[in-house]
Amino acid sequence: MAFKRIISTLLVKDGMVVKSYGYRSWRPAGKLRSALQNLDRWQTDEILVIDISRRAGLDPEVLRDITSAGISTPLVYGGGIRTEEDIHRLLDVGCDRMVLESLALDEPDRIHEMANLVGSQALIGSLPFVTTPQGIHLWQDAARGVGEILSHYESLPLSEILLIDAAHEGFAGKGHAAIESCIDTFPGSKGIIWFGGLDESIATRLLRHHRTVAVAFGNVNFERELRVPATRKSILEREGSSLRRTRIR
Amino acid sequence: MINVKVINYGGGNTGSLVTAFKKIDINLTVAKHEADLMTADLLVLPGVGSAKSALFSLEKDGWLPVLQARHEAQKPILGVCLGAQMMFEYLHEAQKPGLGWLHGEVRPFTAEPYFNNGWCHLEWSAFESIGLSRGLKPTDTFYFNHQFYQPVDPAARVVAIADMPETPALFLRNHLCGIQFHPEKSQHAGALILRNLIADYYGL
Repeated sequence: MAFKRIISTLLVKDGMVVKSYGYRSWRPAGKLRSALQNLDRWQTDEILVIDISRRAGLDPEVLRDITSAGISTPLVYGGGIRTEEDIHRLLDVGCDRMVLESLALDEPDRIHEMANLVGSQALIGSLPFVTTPQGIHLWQDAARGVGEILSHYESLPLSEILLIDAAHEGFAGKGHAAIESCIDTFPGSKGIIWFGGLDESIATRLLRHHRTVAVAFGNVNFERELRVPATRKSILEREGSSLRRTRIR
Repeated sequence: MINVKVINYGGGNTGSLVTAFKKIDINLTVAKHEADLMTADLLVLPGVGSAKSALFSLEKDGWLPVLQARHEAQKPILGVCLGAQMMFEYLHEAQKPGLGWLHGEVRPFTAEPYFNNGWCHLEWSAFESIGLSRGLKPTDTFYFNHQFYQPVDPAARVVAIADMPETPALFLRNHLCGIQFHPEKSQHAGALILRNLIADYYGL
């Protein structure tokens, strides 16, 4: 079995990397190209770039930055993917896998088409959720419960599910408390990537869950120089056997 | 200077391969004409995507006859991931024959999680006597991203195995080399494998 992964997430808005807080407010955090190169040098397991600009189509500036960064770390991209042409462009610039949300939620036939093009190993379904008095449901849509969506995703050719605690995204140590306690009651067996509000303690706990394939950190990557290898070291000390060891040069 | 070409048939991560070869001081360029495939010292057959789509594109773009000619001339060909899988007789995913250079059928994983996505160790076989693992440490890991796995052709040497069962990670057969993982996305360890393969196995 592959090792579980610690993913470094870069949220991009209008071409710039941003620190995000609950998907509601953002602060500039630097240039994408240099952020990618830093993460590559620190040998993070995988880099997840999510363009949250909500623009129509892929941002050519972002694609140029990815190309020019010249990284040799696996790269996952999400945000604004709509067409087969988008998939080809992402492969061309060096993306290995794609995160799909709108299409996965509402246009399942398109997911099958994309799987025919790129293979389901390259497709990840995104599920941003919030916890309210109505329960745990899709972010901005209280009528769609997480259990229903997980069941729907199980029927699609997706390899993994990106479970995003949208309200706590950006607030380390606050994420996933409610869903963690009931994840086993939801249907499905696809691997889960946890993102939003993680700290080292929560991440370590989540890594022990049998469905966990990865934990993803966002804002904390920018707290200080070499935070990424420091986080890895800390989690390795707590949960070493399921993670790979890296040699930073 | 070594002349290394990659086929861009729309199903491969050519950009990442160009970057990876640049890191080992090799100028990998995209083949534009059929003649490029015959004159290259090494040809890279990449693959990220579905087998059906990849085989369709290779056929549609007219690459198949010259690929076959290069194979029959026993000139070095490196297949990466799907590029390696396409060398076999039959691809279950596409429900059609592959290039037929190696015996066996590429099949899907049949047990959960049905995918091998992420970093794995390699176990080096007794065939590893040509220096491919030179400079690597036992703790080094390699990035895999696939849901179908290669069979073992008795005529090929399986040099490395991933620690998921029955998953050859690197095989050699004369001028052919197939790598199931992505050396171009395996950071420093992947670059070492590429360097060793080109220098020590192909002698380029």
